[in-house]
Amino acid sequence: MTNLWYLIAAYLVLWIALFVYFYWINSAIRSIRGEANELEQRVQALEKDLQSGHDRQTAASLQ
Amino acid sequence: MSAPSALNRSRGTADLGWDRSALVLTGLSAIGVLLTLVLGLIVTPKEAVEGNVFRIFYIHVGTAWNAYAAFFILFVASVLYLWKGSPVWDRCARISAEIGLLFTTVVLLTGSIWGRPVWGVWWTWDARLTTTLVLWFMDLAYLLLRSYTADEGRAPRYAAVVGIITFIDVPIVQFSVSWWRTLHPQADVLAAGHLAPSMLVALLVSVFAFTIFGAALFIQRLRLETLRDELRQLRNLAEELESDVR
Repeated sequence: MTNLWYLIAAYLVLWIALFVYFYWINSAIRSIRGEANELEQRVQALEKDLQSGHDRQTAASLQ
Repeated sequence: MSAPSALNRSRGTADLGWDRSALVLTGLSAIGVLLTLVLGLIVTPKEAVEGNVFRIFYIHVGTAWNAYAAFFILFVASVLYLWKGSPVWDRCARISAEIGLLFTTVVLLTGSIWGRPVWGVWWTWDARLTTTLVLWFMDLAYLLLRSYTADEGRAPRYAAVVGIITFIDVPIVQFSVSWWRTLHPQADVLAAGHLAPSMLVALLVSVFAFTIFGAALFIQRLRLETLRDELRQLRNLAEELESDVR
């Protein structure tokens, strides 16, 4: 019966190690995706600003 | 102006592919792992000499096999990096080293836990145990070299050499039980009569399940590195646009 604790300990070590690593990878992926989405929105807004600036410059030069 | 939208499109398509393959592999490994637990803990008979503690064997061998596989990928990717110089191989090598360290740690810990009731000690300087510990330290040295070498140009080359040297220890670990007198059992479990058929099936299922799980970890880790690269590109693009707007 005492040997059963060694068996439980070995299986726990394995599953905890694998789960922690898998969880770490997936949470890092989630956080990077979130950050990338925010950056994409910022890039799009900056592109719009830049485009409207160009348009204003063109209009002014035509006048 | 088209750069960010092209980046978005490629990211979206690539993400779908990643998601699908990661989902399939994770699903398969979950089934395999559940089957391993049922077979290893319930279906297989109690071992005549060691009793229930022998059931550690099914996870110990499966993880050891995965560690070997990870070090083999580390070796191949390191050779290819030195040959071709492509950063993709360097990335594969680094990820394999990380997964190899994870599985070798599990092998050492489960082996130690198994050794205590069977040999009466947590650790002994047996050839198999010692060579495995050396492998663990070499792999750790590889990862530390990657983390602490500031020279981004030379670090992957130095690391590739360390990766190749690390793999040289794998056959030494494997054959240590034949070359030296060891407490650790011989690695001839597949030989006829050594294992009951149900035990052999449990072992093969476990090796298969851990291999699939190792592949799922590898793909997810590769995806994480790819996303980090894309994030870096996006940051640079945002900085360029901000300076243009100003």
